[in-house]
Amino acid sequence: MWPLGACKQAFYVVGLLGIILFSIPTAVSYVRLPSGEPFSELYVLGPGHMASDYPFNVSEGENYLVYLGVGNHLGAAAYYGVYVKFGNASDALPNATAGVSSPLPLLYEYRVFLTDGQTWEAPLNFSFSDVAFDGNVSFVRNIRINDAVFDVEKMARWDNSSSGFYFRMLAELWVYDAKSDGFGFNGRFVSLWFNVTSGV
Amino acid sequence: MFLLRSVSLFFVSVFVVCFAVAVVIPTVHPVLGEDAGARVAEAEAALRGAFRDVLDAEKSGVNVSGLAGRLTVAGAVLSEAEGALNSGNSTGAGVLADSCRALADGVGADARVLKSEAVAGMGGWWVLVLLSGVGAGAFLASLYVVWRWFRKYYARKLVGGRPEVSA
Repeated sequence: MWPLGACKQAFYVVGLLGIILFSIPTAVSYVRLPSGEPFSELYVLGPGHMASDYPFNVSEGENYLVYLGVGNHLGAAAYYGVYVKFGNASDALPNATAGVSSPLPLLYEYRVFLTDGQTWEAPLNFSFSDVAFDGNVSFVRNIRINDAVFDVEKMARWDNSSSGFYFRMLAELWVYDAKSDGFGFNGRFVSLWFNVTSGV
Repeated sequence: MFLLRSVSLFFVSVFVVCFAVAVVIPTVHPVLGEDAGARVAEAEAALRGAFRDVLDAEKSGVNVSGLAGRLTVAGAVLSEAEGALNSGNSTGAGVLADSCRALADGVGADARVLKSEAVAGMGGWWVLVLLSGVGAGAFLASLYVVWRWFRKYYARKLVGGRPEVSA
């Protein structure tokens, strides 16, 4: 027969297990398990919804299509702005390390609201108009993004090493901060190079 | 003489009307543009306000995925409004901005209602805590009663077991 002390300890253990069992429903509804480091994602896909076949050699009047995507892994709902900008090879890119966006003017903005774990994709249709070539310089005056036309007045010099007139389209990811009631650059951006040709 | 006076009066009237139109129209058109710009700005503010309401609702435990989807639709309308404004279509921009604002206000109102309902339902959580506490207490009380009985049983067993004495 077990000593009384050992029996008493057994009753203590049963009592403790009972307390734990009865507190499980409350704990499950209240405790949030750690979910890992929060982050957002921004990506661009080609016309086939794949990371390929991106438009590169572009000409005036032709329509081009890519898809922009955003993913929310911040642990809560978020309000994202995807800022589309256009520049040439010498225009400054965003500095992702310092969290500084490109100084290029905002042309088109996508506004996206996502809950945690959600992703969003949307088409980005664009074309160029009023494109001119003068010697070793190319001018792009207008760009159409979706249904809106923007005056960009961008110039690019002939690149001897890469043999082309190079321009670049950027998409930057900005996130709304409810406390400051403003947007901040999230440090993420994607860019596409274009070689503007005469199309002949 | 009368004819000359009438013709002169006619041409003076035409001149005055043309002058008035030339002065009025340039002052009307920029006002339309400014109005559309203000309506776009108001729609943007409404979108932000609605998102803050959605965030509050989410913190209260509401599933806001449907609300977020509606806000994305409203955001797309606002982007169209900005594009129209940039293209010089002030009328279209204003209409789209008002549409965005209506959508955003609707989402904000729904978010506030859902949050109120969630907060009211929080009473259920306290009932759960109370029931867990009562259940644990009843279990421990029962365990104590069982222990008391077991101790008496153990003592009886000890007293009843006499040691054997070998001759």
